[in-house]
Amino acid sequence: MTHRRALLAVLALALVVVAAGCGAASTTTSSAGSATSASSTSSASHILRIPYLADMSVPDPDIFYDIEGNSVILSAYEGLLKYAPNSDKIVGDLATSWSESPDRLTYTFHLRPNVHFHDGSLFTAQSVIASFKRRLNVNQAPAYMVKPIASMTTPNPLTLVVKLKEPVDPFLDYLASSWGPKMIGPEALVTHAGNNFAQTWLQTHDDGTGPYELTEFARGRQYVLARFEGWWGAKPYFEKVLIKITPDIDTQQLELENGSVDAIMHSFPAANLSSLPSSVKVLKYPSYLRLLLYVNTHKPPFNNPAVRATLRAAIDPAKLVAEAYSGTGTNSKGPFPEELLSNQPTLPYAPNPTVAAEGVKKASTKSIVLGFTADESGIQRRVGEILQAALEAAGWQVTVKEVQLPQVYDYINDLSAAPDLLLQTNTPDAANADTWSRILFFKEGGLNFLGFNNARVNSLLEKSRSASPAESEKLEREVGQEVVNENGIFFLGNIDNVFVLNKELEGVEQIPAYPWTVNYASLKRG
Amino acid sequence: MSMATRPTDLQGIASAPSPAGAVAGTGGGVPLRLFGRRRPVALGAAGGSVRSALMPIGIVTLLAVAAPLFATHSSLDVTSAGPFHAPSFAYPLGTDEIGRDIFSRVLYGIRESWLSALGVITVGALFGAFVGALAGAFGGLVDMVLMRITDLFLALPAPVIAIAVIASIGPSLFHTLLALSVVWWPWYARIVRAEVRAHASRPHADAARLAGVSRARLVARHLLPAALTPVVVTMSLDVGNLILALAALSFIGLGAPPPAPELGAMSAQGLEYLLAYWWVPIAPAAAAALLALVANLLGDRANRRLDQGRT
Amino acid sequence: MAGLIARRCVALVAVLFGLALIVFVLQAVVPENPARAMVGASAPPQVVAQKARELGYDQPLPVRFVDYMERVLSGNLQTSLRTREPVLSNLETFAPATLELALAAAVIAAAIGVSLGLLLAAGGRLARVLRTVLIGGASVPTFLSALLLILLFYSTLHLLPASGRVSDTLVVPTGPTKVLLLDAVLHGEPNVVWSVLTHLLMPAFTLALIPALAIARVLASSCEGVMREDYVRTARTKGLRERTVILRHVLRNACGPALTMSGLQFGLLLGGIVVVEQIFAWPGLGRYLDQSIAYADFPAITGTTLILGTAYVIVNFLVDLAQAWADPRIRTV
Repeated sequence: MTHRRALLAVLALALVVVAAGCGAASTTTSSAGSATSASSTSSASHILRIPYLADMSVPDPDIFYDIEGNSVILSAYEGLLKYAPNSDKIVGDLATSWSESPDRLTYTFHLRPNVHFHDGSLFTAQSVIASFKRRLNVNQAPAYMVKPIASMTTPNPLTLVVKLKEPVDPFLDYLASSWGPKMIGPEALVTHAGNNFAQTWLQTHDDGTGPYELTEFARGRQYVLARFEGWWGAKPYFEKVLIKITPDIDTQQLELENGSVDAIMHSFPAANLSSLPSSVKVLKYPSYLRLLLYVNTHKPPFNNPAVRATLRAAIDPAKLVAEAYSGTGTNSKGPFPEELLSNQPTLPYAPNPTVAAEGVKKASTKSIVLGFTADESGIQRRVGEILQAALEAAGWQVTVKEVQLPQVYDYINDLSAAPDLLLQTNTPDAANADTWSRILFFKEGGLNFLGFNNARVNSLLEKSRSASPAESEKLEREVGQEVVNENGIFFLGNIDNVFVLNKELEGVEQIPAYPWTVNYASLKRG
Repeated sequence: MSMATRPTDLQGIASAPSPAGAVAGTGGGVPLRLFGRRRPVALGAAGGSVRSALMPIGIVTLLAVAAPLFATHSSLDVTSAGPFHAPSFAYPLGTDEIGRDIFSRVLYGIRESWLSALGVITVGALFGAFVGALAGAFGGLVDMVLMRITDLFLALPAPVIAIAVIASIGPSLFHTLLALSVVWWPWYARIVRAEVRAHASRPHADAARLAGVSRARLVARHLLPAALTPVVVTMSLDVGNLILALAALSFIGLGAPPPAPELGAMSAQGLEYLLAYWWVPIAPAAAAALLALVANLLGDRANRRLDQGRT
Repeated sequence: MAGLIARRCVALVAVLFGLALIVFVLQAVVPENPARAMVGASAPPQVVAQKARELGYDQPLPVRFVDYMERVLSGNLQTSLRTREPVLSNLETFAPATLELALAAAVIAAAIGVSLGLLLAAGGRLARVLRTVLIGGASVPTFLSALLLILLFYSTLHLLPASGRVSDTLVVPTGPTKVLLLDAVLHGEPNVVWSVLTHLLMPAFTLALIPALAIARVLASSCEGVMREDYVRTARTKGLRERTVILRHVLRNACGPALTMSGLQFGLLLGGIVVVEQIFAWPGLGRYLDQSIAYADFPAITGTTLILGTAYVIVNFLVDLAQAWADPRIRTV
């Protein structure tokens, strides 16, 4: 008798569960998005609400080197240069014009007048020097961009002359980069210096010149950007931007559909894009984000070049991208992001089961470890599983392992313990081929996780940074060809910038070199 | 994470307060008491409770082990239908984000989850029973030391320790099960010790001692079997909780790595598609819930039989 | 009673020491080199080696353990690798949110648990149906029940919010306790109180499901046991109403194990907290622990484990004392 009751209860539970699931499916296809009284809504208000999946590291532009969080940095701070929307063309930001000497060692910048920091002080050429110096002193990941500088002078308060130690082809791109040097108020740097160049104060405050001011940094909860009324540009529509830390993507999606947040800027499950309600629109733009497969060339089986080469036949990047990215990714056509280098060497990937199987037979060991970096969207895991299936079909025994970013940075110290294959998504630091090859292919590259070390590539790259632009391009192409031949890194796909927005939002301005964000100052509720 | 409900030991050990109950001191945690009003229960009557708990568990285990026989596809191969295929005749629970048949994966997952849970609990129970038997049989210093260690583990929050362990040694199914075993055994030590001590003062134990039975034999033949009942009942209640604990750990990312067809991992990894392709996370979660439900109901029934047998 | 308290205190200290030891051991087996993680990936080997020396990683284990105990006892839980702030101050920031959630869940679990437990003890078909329903609810993985609740109450019914502790349009009092509900009450802000309650309801309920079941079961079982006792029969034959019998005699004697179970459930609650805090974007210790694990931030992981473990041990200690005070027969234990 209790059995029957139990069974009924189980059935009832199952029905409830299924009904809720169906309800989930149907609420997403009907138009939701009405204002709810229980939750604070964004519709028809001058407050913009954007969810983040995780905390950013720190809102300090000289330390920050991740992707999520760049919208805070780019809203609060400005650099001398930036990129024009939807392009890789460099335009002025705090510099209105600039010139380059014929020997490419001296750059002269004319600065924008009447620009104020959030603390009220005036922006001058001296502020630039102070900010650049601070970046050198703090000496974290983005410091390399200002290291080539030999000296800086200010003939007048609105002119800055920078002399480099040697020509640096991507120098202007560094200044336009999302992680490039940003202007921090010199008075604040002095007042709050402490004993670490104001790093402690800048963990929770800002003093930039940008359209928004960081008025609250409640780690784990939310960041508040308030419109800076003294900004030199056109007054933004949104008077406040609330960045809410919402770690679960399902919760984010539900809140977007119901109007509690305005836009999801990244990691939206591509598979769900086709079933969104009409209150929401999807905008897709190309970016420089690329899906890479690093190969550990320092231990068996992939220290054998012949075995490595057969990986070209074991994976089917086209199919992989189509399946994992559901239309938000495209195939890579070369080792560099397509927009950054023309006439690139082609990628010789062609699935061929026989060749792939032969590679396994030649290998000294069949069992390999494929690592993927944990990411909140789950796409890396999915790609990892698809790759695993493909490799196992060829005969490999693949263990898929989720790894954390700090571990990944540590592999270089003990490559024999690192995985055999590593999946990663990377973007160049700026819209310049050099900022891609140097971090990935150069022997000491910051993102060269598995120690790819090719002597010819190293010497080419050493030449290319100070070469002329035309010469540099040629060298980069050679680097690319060498990298492709070596099979040390596989270029699986290009990933789009996908924004899922409340359909009322207009004025979307995005820049491929600044992934996962748009310009908050240009957004408005139409 | 739902590492919950072990009511049995508390009900059995700390129920029916009675002045006649002798008291066994431990320190910190549940005050241990013996059954004051208990009529001497022959093994047969208590055995009914064991049977009522073991048999259903045995049946479910057999079913779980046999489940993959009904699978129509492999749990790892990508089907021709491609990803996110809705439930249909060919694929009763649809296909997942990679294109694998969910029905088959769930069947394999039922086996994997059930056996993992059973494995952890058996290891925990065996180890705990060993410790408890030693403590109960020898008494004195041995008892005190062992019980203090048990109390320490009991006093710590199991989920937090498990998470910390896995975070240290790295996630893999084996590590996760190991971490869970580490935090799961103390309960069983407590139960077994209490039962052993309870029965150690019984007439039939005295008789055996007088007959010259060695202590080891005494414990093994006469005392431990009495402990079997509450242990088995607790195990059956725990299986469901362990399945849910595995699911919760998978959600945090500390469970079985892909492509293992473990129900919790499947559900957690499919969660982001809930709003578009609901069957991907719901099918394995429902299966896990079903297993937990069955385990809970069976355990509940056995538990109540045990209670009734006691008074 | 004093003797009992003294003995329990000694046990408490021993357990806390054991906790610290276990956490230290876990920290020591970590394969990654924490020194490197602290100075950054691009630091040269000499800097890493120097940091390692500074942290004492080149010392033998017993020395490291002593250093560790000194450090912990003086409140220094090191600096988080991820937030670059002292772990202790991070814990202070996030603990009140978790405390609020845990307390609310405990209240809900107690309410549901006790009522259901009594109902079950009273028997009847309704009780059995309810029991099965509750078991069903407690059998669903927590992350799924959380999302289904959000789907129902937020997305479909628009009754409750899906995330956060309070509406972001309200000015929140930075009160004395940091537990928003209490602070709002103390400052006399009904809007904030209402907002906090609506935000608290779903996560607390999700957390409470499993403990409620456990409490209900234990209570029902011990009630059933007590009800078979002689003195209950006596009370009944005296002509007392059933309700009086239950409330005055049965419940009071039966609540011991349930109380113990509640204390233990608090610790088990801590496990559900990581899941619930993630789905409801509740900025508490569970979230902090989760992000620390994702970042391999071992100082933060060990600090959080120590704090949560200590809280759990203390709660059980207090429950023990409360039980002993309520039931004199336990005091000789």
